[in-house]
Formats: sequence, structure tokens, C-alpha cells
Amino acid sequence: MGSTKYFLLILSFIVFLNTDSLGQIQKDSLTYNISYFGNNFWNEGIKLGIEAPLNSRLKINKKGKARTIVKSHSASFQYYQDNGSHSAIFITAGWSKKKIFNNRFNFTTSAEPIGIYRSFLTETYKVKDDGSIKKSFLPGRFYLAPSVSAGIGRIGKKHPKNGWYARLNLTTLMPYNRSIMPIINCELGYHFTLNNKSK
Amino acid sequence: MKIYSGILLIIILLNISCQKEQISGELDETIYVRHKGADMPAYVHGNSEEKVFLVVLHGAGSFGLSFRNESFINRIEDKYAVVYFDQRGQSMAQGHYKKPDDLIDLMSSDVEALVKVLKHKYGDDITLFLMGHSWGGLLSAATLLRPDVQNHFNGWFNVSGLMDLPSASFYRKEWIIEIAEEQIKRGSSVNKWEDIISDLTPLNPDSDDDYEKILKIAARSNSILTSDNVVSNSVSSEKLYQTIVKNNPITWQVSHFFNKPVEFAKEMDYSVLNRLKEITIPAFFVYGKYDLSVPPTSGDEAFDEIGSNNKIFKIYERSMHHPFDSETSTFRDDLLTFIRVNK
Repeated sequence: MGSTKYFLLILSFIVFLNTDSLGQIQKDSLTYNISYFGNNFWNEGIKLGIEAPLNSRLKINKKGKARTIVKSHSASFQYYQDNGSHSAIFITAGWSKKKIFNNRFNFTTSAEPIGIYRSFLTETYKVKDDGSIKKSFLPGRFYLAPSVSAGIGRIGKKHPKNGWYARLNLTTLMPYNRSIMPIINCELGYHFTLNNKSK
Repeated sequence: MKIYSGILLIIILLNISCQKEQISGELDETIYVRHKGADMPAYVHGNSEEKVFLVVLHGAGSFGLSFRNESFINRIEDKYAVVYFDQRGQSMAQGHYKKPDDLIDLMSSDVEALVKVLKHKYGDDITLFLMGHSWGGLLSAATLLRPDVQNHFNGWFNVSGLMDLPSASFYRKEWIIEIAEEQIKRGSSVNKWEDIISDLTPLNPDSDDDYEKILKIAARSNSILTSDNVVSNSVSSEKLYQTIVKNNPITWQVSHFFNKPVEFAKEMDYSVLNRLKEITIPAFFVYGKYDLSVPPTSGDEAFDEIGSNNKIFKIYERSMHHPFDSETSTFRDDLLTFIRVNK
């Protein structure tokens, strides 16, 4: 797992350096989020995300109740380890839609169709057709990984761009073996801006 | 920058947390075998001081660690190293590959690849035993029938292995009726068993349409046997832990949904019966008396064909299809004795 660790370090840096450069353009409006990211609930991991708002509008329903709808571009970096068998990182990008109610609760859905997943296996030996054996370097597989998620949250009183959230995330790996593999992750996290001015 | 440093620190800590120190001779690791497009985990646990390794092949829709109950952890792993293997397309095995022409040949070549990896990693002088359960029993036979593979193993421990697909329904039907009549004689759930017999009698074991119907009646019969306490039926906490926490249940079930080797074997009318005489290494066959999916009568027929002079057939009196769960101490003692005598 040693080499995996270094690869993760390098990749983390690249992702965050890019995030920083994005922030130069519209830093005030960017929302960051960080969450516990558990593969099938109990395999621990972490998710880091960024959202850049596309538009925001006020919607009033038939009962006269107002809701704020915020649509954003979203991108995420995720890491988890599956007990004793493998760990994985994946990067996804797409859109999110947040419906904010008057009581500060919100309902968020997101679709991130662009996704790439890389598994990292433990010590792996490749057995070739001629029977020879070679230890693999950075063993693992790439998969396409589109994902969708939905969940609830609550925004802060003083800083409406900050707040906690809980979501369920479904990512589908493909092609996996001879078909596909859905993985379910739960997210418990916090979103925030780096510029914490009130409304 | 502080936030970024904190995040990176969390990632490193998460990564380090899964690494365990190993005691000399005590193995506790997961290695992968990459072979023909598949990456298959082998969970290696136990005492390697004697250099004796037991390779375990799971049944259909199961996973390697399903065997790892308290008995395996505390007693079998205490003496020998156990290799719990997730087969191609099953449980946590991953990869990319096309549908093979002969799945069983491919999967048995995977087991052969595992043997090569074990010898490469732990030394050519290790002693190997092969154990297979149900579908894994068939796969273990197919593996042993590959050229020169028997030379690598000191013994074969077959648990409820299904060796002949074409006769599976016939033996199931016959044995369910046999057990039903036995239970009626005892006065146990008489009405239910009479219903079982009347539902079963018109079914044709040679018909593909009736194959699933007979299996469903077997499942109904299992429920009666369990509720009447005819068989031992307990799930250990360790097995539950291995199933839900160590194993990933969603990946396991989805993998099985898309990859059903028994379906392939059934379509092929696969059988190793006429080749079992080629197996000459020591063999121990275990079947549950109340196993209605792979009845002991089918195991007995296969046992007669084995070419080995050193072979034992044993029926477990209070077991259905998983004798290692229902009669753990007897199973453990038989397995340990078999390894001790033949290592």
C-alpha cells in the first residue's frame, strides 16, 4: 500500500491546486464541501467537493410558500477503503440542484455523469499465459463512474452558504467484470465558503 | 493551506489505519491473483510455521470468507494457513473480460494460477490441501483434473460437492421423498411432508421446466426440517461479521447476479463423474444427511468413482448443505485430522 499512499498524496495536491485556480475566477461564489464518505456505510472514506453556482431563483408554490432553487456545477474527489480488500479514488463532475426552504432545511440532488474511478488493490501477482508470475506495480483498475446523489441538509443562520448535509450516493462502475457494479455510499458532511460574508 | 494539509493528513491516516503488523509465522493478509482479465482476492490467515496451506473454494453465490467462523479462526488457523479465495466474477473479485467459451475451464485455471502465486510467494516447499464446497466442490474436482495439478496437493476435502449436473434433479427428488417418508414415520409435521410428496411426485427430474420447481420444494423442505429442529441451524456472530462487514454484501450479491457459474454448468450438462477415477490423491467427502440440494446419495455415487486408495466418505447426521456451520466441531476435527495424517 506504500506506493498507493504516495499516489493519493500527489493526486490530492493536483486536485486542490486546480480548485485554487478555479477560485481565482469567482472565489466568492464557490462552495466547498467535505464529508465522511462511507462505501456501503461502514467502509470509511472522505469526499471533497466544490460547487460553482449557475443560477438561483425564487419559486413560490400553490400554497404561497417560497423556495430558493440554486443550480450549480459540481465536481468531487472521493476516496474510500473497502475492508481488507481494496481502496479507491474517484473524480466526478456534473450538476447539482439545491432546494432551500424557509426553515433553512434544503433538499439537494446531483447528477455527475462524468466520472473516473481507480481501485487500488493490495499485493497483486499477475500470472501470464506462459505461467510466469510478475508482481504488479500500483495494482488496480480504472472504471467509468457516473454517479447520482440525493440528500438533505441545513444551512447556517449567519452564513447561509455554510451548513451540514447527509446524502446517499450511487455510483456505477463500468465495465466491471462482465457487467456493471453499483456502489452505494453515504455522505455526512459540511459545506462552506472561504469568504464567509453574510447575505 | 491549513485545510488542504488537514485533508491530506486524514487521507494518510486512513491509509495507514488498514495496515497491520504481522507476527512471524502468523499470516493475516490479502493478496490478489491477476489472471486472464480478473483480479481475484485471496485472504490468507493463520499459522504458516508448518508451511501447510488449505485453499478454500466457496460455493455458488457465496464468498471465500463465508467459511471463516470461530472454528476456522480459533482452531484451524491456529495450526495451518487458510487461503479463502474469491473466484472470478464472485464477491470482491473485479476486472474486465469477455464471456468465456468454457467458464469452468477458465475458473479452474484461475485456481491453478492461485497455486502458482502461493508457491511463488510462500515458497515451493509449502504443502497444499484443496477444499471445495458445493459448486466449489465441482470446481475443485475440475481443478484437480487439470494436467499435473494433483502433484501440488496432498489432499482433497470435498464438502457437499455437486459433481454431476444432469443427475442433480433426480437425486434431489429421490432424497426429498426419502426424508419426507422418514419424517412422516416419526410423526413429525406429517401434513406438511405429505404435501411435499404430493407436489413432488408429478415433477419430472429430466425436465428443465421442473428443475427450479424441485429446488423450490427442497427449500420448503429445508424450512420444515429447521422449524422441527431436525437439523442444527445457527449462524455464528463471526460468520455474520464476515458476511456483512468484512465482505461487501452489495458487491457480493451484484457480482453473483451477473455471474452464475452453476447456470453455465447446467446449460453444459457438466459432469466430472466419468473422470473422477483420475483423481488419486487422498480424498475426504463430507455430505449432510438432510442436504436436499446436493443429497448424500449423489456424493456417494461420485465417491465410488474416485481413483484414490486413500478415501473417506462421511455423512453428517444433523446437517443440511453447510456442515461446517451446523456441526462445526465435528467438521473441524475431521478436517484437522485429514490434514495431519496427509501433510
